[in-house]
Amino acid sequence: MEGVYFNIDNGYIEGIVRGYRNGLLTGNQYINLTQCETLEDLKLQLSSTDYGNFLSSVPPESLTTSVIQEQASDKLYQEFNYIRDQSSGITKTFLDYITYGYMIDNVALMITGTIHDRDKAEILPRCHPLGWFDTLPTLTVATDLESLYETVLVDTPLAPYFRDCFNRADELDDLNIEIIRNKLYKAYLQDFYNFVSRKTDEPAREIMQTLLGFEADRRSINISLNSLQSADIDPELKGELMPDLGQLYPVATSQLAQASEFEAVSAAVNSVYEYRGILESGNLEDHLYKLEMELCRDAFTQQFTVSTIWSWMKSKEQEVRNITWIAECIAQNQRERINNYISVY
Amino acid sequence: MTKDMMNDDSYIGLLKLLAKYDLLLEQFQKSMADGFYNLGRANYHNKDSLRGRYGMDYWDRSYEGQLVADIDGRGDVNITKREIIDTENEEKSEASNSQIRRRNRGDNEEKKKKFKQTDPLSMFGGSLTAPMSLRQSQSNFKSGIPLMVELINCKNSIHQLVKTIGED
Repeated sequence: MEGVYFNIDNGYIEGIVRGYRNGLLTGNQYINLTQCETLEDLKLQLSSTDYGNFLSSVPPESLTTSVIQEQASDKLYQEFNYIRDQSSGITKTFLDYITYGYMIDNVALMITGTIHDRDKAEILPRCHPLGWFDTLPTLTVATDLESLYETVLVDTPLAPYFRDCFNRADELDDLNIEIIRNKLYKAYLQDFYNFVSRKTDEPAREIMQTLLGFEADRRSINISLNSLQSADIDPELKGELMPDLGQLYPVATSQLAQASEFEAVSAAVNSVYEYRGILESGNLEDHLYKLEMELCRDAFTQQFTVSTIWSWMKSKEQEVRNITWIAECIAQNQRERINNYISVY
Repeated sequence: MTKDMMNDDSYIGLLKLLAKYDLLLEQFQKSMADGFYNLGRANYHNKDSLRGRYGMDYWDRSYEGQLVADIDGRGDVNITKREIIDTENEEKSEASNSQIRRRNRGDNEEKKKKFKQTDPLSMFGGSLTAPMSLRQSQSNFKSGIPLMVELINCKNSIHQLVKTIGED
């Protein structure tokens, strides 16, 4: 019966999102893109898709892969902001939750930029637009975390996530900022998961729980693998950074935290059916992207859910990555490796 | 006759150097191409959702270089790792004189500064989030450094030899 009342507040939004979803590039369109000789050809091919003339204001001599990536991303952000402006109630809170992830990245970026002696004017344009909040520029006065929290961060939506970040009274350096970022993200994912479990109806609840669980698993695997390269992170700290949700939690997560070599990580990951073999062949990130895209594609089979917004966003981000990759291969003249993108639609 | 033989030796030496230069250039080209390919792949894997790609925006302006290039009289280059020098500076920092670079945690704090070998990769997302492709890109570019050194030294030898042949 979930469909009866959903459309009153969210019918327009879901309609728009499904329209955006239908505009996502298909396999054939990607093949056309891979056959372009130059970036100008690529621009021409993209003009016949939903992207339209998004590069029309860029002169041919300044057409680079980073310009293409920026313009394509800007289009995504405009579409997201349009949807957010139309939403209300639970849907609006859901969209706000999506932006908190980007806010965490922006906070980490500002603090890192400050300790790297970078000028505020240089770092601010690099912040993610969807994670912008008004007091973000004031984070450049980064002396230590407690004072930052008390002066700036306590008034932001990220305030509750700082609960476990004050245990280590260390100075802010690259590694500690990474640790703080991962702790914030863990708290954010848990909070998002609780929100989705309590406030959304089926089938959105089930789909979002799966998608958020996958995100948590991805982070756990990456933390475990990357920390093999560095001896500064002990198993107890690793366990504090890995989220308490997903298919790997609790058994495989504790094994991953204790793992000190690649085989142990591989064994822990292989204990989950869906992730079996992803560490054996090919690149881990590519396998995880493929899994994510399949989950997102399947999420669209359900009607009257807010999970379509999350799925569309992730699919669109992947599409921007694919287009940037194809543009990069054309620019570098590496045509034999141009087909290394993920296309599920 | 002897002078002709010496000239032949010079020319043969020159040809060998040119062939070596060609081979080195090909290897260098490959390592640079692989490095840029893996950098592009790392940008593809950059799931941090930060805008922009791995590049100048991530640089740490306070970073100290790890390698030193010694250039001798002829122009030959030798690139070596910088020595680790342990210098400890004890300072008492006061709250009223704090600057952004100093992280104060109260009075009577001691700040130790020593040059240690830090991996430049830590600038690009830290040890927990740098993708494997970025590490591969780094090792590709690093493998190009000894090739660069060989190329410069080879080029100097070629110039030297050409000059010698020209004088004869």
